[in-house]
Amino acid sequence: MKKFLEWYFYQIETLFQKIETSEKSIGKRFLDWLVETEVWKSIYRVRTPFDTTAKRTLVMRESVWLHLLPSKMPANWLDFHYSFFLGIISFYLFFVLIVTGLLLMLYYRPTISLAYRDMLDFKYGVIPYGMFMRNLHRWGAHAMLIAVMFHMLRVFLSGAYKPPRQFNWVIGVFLLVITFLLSFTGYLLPWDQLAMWAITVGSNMASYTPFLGYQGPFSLLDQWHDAHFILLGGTVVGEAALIRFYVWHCVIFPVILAVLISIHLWRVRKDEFSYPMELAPEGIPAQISSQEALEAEIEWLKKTREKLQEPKLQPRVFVWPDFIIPTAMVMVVTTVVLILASIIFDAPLEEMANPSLTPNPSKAPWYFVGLQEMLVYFDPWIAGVVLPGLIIIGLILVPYLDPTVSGIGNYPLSPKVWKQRPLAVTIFTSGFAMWFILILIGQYFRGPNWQWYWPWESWAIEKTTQAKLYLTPEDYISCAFSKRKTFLPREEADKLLNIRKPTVVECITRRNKRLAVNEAQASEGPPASGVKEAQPSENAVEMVLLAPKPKYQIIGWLALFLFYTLGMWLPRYFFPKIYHIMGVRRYVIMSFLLTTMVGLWAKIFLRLGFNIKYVVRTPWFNI
Amino acid sequence: MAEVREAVAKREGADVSRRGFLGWMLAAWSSILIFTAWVIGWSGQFMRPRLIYELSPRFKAGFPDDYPLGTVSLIPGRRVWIVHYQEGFQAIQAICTHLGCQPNWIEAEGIFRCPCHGSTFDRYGANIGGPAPYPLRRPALEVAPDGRFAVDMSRLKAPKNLAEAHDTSLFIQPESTSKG
Repeated sequence: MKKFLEWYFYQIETLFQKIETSEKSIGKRFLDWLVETEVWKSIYRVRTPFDTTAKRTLVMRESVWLHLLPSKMPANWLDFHYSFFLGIISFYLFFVLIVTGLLLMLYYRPTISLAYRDMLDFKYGVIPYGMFMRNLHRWGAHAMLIAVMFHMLRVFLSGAYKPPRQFNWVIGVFLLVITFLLSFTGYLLPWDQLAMWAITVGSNMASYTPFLGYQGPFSLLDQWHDAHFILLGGTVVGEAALIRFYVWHCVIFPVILAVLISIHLWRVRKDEFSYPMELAPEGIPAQISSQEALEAEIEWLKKTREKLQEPKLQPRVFVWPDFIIPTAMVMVVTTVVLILASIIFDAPLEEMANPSLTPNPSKAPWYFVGLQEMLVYFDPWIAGVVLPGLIIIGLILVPYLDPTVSGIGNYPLSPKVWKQRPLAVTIFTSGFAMWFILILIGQYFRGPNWQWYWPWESWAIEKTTQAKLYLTPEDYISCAFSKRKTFLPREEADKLLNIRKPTVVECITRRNKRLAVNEAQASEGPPASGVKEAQPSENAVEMVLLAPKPKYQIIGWLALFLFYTLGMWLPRYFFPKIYHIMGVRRYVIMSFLLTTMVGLWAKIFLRLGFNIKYVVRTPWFNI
Repeated sequence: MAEVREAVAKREGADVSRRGFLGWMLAAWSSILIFTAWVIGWSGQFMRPRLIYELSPRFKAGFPDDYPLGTVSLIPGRRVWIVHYQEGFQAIQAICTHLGCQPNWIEAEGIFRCPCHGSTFDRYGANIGGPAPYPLRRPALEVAPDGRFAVDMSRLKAPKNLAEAHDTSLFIQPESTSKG
């Protein structure tokens, strides 16, 4: 980047020299005249060329658009591999989305009878460049999501959330959440099958909110009064939901986003762009926990500011033109990529939404497919409400849980990042990777009926699976203590249950069969059934029915308790220094979140490996 | 100092005691709180229309003879199956208890399976696999005086476990249908 800039400025300089030495052309004379007119001078107060310090400072201050940036900034920002310009790209994509979105609004009518027709108008060229505009909007939205997520990762790796920039990280998390919500609300508007069912799944999570949702634990409200109804304006995704989502998408969220972006950028300007620590003065205060520490912090900031003025220590560059030109170039590249993508790929549009036919498989938009994959392993109120809530809270708490100030301004890809903050970087990147792994599984490894399909397998071949026999933790314990391990012949048990752990399963089968026999005798003979003929899966079902033994459920609770105790204690045991640095409160919150993150994998492992559906069961909810 | 304060108080005509000041503060803050609560209240009301333009939850679904023994029939546009068992008729709501997708009836295996997250239900609607936490819900099914089925989606029976889902005592057996 630097070399390129040097080359670029050299070219410009030689060009100007050539122009000055050559005879004045008509164009040059016109420009000379233009910048001297009263109109021009009334608009642009700073006169070209911007060759002095004063002019380069003024040009930033005098413009309402540019004044969100300072007039000088740390030189490390010119290195592409410091920031990857991800914040700039996100901001620019938001601008692109506003423009294309406004143009689409000229034609789009948010009613269920017309919305899909307007989509077809775009598709079949009734509106010139209509489909192109829609593609730009769609791919721009996806690109913005990726940009903001990686922007967050970059900020984390270069420690840019540390004092004094903690609260700006929090605003960044809100920006991230609203970007997701914008994308989600926009997803409904085409009113095709993809849209309607993705939103049905997504909005149904609201009905699992504890207390406020009609299906959630401790529900207080009915189907016509709960959070789900308020979200949709009805009991199903219909006319009311469409107009509601339209207003959220086109007005409310963009306005909130614009305001938050202004605050975000303003704080970046006020707190300085982050820069490598070698340039900062010694004696950084460890944490802001008291008035003294706060004063020390302010003192340190002052010293830093003073030190930054010394040109030897901190190479600082003028934002105009050193930063403005790369920014413009990044925007141009983004535009080119976006236009090419929109020419090559069309935004998907399926059949018109049909409330009585769910497409198979029915997938959420890709950025929520990770959540959808999680929904397979947990009750909806945990996967849909509690876990996303914990993710957001965890992200917000990042700058407050990390009391150290080491590693600010590290280049995100340098090995120093990991060496200086091994634990923080490991936790954050593994959480980040986990999100994408779940997305990959949901997007590329799940086929019809949400069955596991390898990417090279055809979806045309339907995979039939027998009903699975779900076990409980206490089944495993009780079988470990029983003497006879077999009841049914092995082949029969395998055929009956079609699961991998024959010994334990046979043991449970035996117990359940015995219970089933007792039950049948108690109710005087087997129930008459014409429809319910010998179906292997249904036999398995009978066993599930009889499996739970309430008095042994304590085993599941014990396992859960043990898991959290170990999860919260082990890091302290292995990394006593970290406990010492963090203090009790920070440590407890951090280790709770970490254990929950590991618990997600543990539950997936239990479900897939041991067929355990729930570890603990209560009348209101199951985990 | 005290004289100055008195003088200032006299000049401004203000004679507010500490108690009076606190009283005013209390009144001001409580009215702000009441107002806020009222605004939140009506915002909540505003978001919830009194009338929703959706299909009526009560509808007629043909004669019992239209549903032969052993069939599982989806009522078009209503998201309800009417199932004819040996033990009688039952209506099952075609809304997955997991996240509200519409399961498909798979004749070959004798189960309902949801395309969204792979929940499976047996022919009685009991959840036997996948993430669904409860069996499928049952709208009220009656035979109207004209001999047709009347389904009421607003009166839902929600079985909590497999035993309740397999309870056949509430299945209806219209007289016009010959048994077996």
